[in-house]
Amino acid sequence: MDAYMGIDVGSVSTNIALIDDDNKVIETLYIRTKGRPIEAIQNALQTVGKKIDPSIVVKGVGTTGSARTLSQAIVGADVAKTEITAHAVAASHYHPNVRTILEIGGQDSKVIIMEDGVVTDFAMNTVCAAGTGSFLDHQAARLELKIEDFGDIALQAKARLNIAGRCTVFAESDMIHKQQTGHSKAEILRGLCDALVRNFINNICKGKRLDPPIIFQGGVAANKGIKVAFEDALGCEVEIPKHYNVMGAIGAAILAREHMEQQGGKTEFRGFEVTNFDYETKSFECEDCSNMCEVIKVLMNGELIARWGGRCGKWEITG
Amino acid sequence: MTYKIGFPRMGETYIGFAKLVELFGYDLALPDALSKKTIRLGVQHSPEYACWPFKISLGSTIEALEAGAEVIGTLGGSGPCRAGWYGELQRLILVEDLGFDIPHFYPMYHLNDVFKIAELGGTKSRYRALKCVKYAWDTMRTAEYFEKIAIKQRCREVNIGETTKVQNEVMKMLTETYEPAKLKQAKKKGTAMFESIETDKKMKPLKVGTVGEIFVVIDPFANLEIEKKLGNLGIEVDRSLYLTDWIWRELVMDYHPVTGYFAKKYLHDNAHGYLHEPVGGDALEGIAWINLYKEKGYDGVIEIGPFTCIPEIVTKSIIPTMSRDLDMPVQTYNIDEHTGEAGFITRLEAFGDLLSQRRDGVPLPTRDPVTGRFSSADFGAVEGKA
Repeated sequence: MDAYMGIDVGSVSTNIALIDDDNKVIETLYIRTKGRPIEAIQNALQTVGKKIDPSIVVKGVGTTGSARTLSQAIVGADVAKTEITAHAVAASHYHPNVRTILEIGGQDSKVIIMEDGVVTDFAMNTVCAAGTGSFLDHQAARLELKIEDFGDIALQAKARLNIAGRCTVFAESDMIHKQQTGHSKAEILRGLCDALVRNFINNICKGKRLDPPIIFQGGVAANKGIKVAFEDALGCEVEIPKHYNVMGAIGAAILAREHMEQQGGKTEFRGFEVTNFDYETKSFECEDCSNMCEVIKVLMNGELIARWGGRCGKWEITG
Repeated sequence: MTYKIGFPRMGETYIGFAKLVELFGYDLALPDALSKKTIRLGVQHSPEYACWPFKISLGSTIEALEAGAEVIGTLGGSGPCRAGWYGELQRLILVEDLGFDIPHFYPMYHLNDVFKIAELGGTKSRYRALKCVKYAWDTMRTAEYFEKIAIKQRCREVNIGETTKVQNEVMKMLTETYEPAKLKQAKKKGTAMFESIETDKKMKPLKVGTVGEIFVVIDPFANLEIEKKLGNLGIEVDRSLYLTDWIWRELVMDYHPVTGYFAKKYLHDNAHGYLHEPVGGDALEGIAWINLYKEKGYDGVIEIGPFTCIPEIVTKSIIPTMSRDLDMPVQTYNIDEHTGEAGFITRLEAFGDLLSQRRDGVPLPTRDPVTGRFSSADFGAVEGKA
């Protein structure tokens, strides 16, 4: 059977999705990146390689996420596209009428506005990571809860509490203040969900029209408290797709399929054996001018396969 | 005696300014090209809330002083944007906080400031000074003309990186030219050099215009080389603002209300319905140019502004309405020291995909915006070049 693979390497999680010719999902995988993207890719590929039917032939590979260039070099991908394009492609495939996509991941959050299956506008958080998965993780850890239980506890709250959500530093001191004056954990968590959503709508959506149908995806979509807070704020239902946490990978797989069908030819994929290769990245500071660019080299079994990071382009290939 | 003069750098405009002061009779203390060091110096000595152009120009001025400058010419302003006072504030920081001895510090508000600098350099005759100004002006125009070609043509080049190489060569040629006749030759030669670059003539690239605050629109270092990155993605770029156009309109024509009215009429006409008064900085220009780019058939517009720049915030708040009315995608980038390049590139690529999907129904081909490389197949080519 033919299959196409999408790999989404983000700051917090590394996801893989395999789809067939009809974009039906064959296999998905969600693991934590833990700050070591190369190892995460290798582990993920190994797991998937073992799990799938040996008759499956990978015909094309797409990468996405903040480490898309690195993962493209390592696995030999045919396309590398941004998370925004990948998320939009995946969402519009499963929900052709979708108008608004909310996506909250580990380090960034985005809103994508669609019309007739085409992206017409998007925005992404820039200087500040307030209201992303990492902050929720951090708060859950501070309160000694499992992040999985966060949403359920928040929904038990009886009263609404106002938490300052503009900046995580302020949010945290506000939460501590509320906790010291005797508010329950549930109320504080619910307040945090509301604050995060308020911040998202004010700071990222900034005047964009959020029309239904609305889809909410990314790792944070698992948090029921945030979903309910979005529904309250937007006054309409917010849908969460079945594969909400690997939508980026699914999108990358669809893009890879479209690319291969258009271009024809053979995939660049190095095969699941890449897990046996020895990858190493080295970086050095170029001292030839005052820019002092940090150049990165990727070595596969001791052999240089990629190099980037310079401003002037001399460390890269020029053709 | 001959004084040494320095000034902060902004994009390729330094070529013209360097010509001007050299012809006036100064020795040049040119700061190095903007770099991480410039940022470090600028950020260290600036108020935290000052904008990106302030920090960069302060850093660059310090580098000029380190290179031995005794005379400093720097930015002044005309609009109600706070940049009008940047020269004064920088003088306070440099002299009172950092203890530099700068007897001659000239923020440029007016043509008279140019004459003062000319006189100090030994060019007493106003006629001669104006001749120098004319030559420097032509040099600056030529540099801008080359930049215009480069950002338009980069997306079509067959051998990736060739446009940048030619651009560096022609700019070097301009810095070495001192006579009007030679300048004309240089312009001809440079044009021929750009024409000799092998390009894909059949390609119909997407077209994007840039609007926004002048410093970050013009300076490739300050805007993270947005024009080059767009070109590498296969997108043709046009810049709405060039320094000579701005000087002509805001400092020369605006000298008299009547000429000023006619020079700015096209801006007011095009911004009509959205912004009726100049609100400082380059907000009116930005709004007008979004409309102009729509008329010229561009696919999208990118607004670039420094973080905390009020005029750009005004522009940004008008954009959603304009974008809807004109059916024109517009992206805003607020640039600051903290702008991570990864997020910036992600948004640029996604914007390119958006435009491509709107026009052709498919995303752009996968290319690395920093290097212009096409796919992982290209990565193999670096083997052995460690």
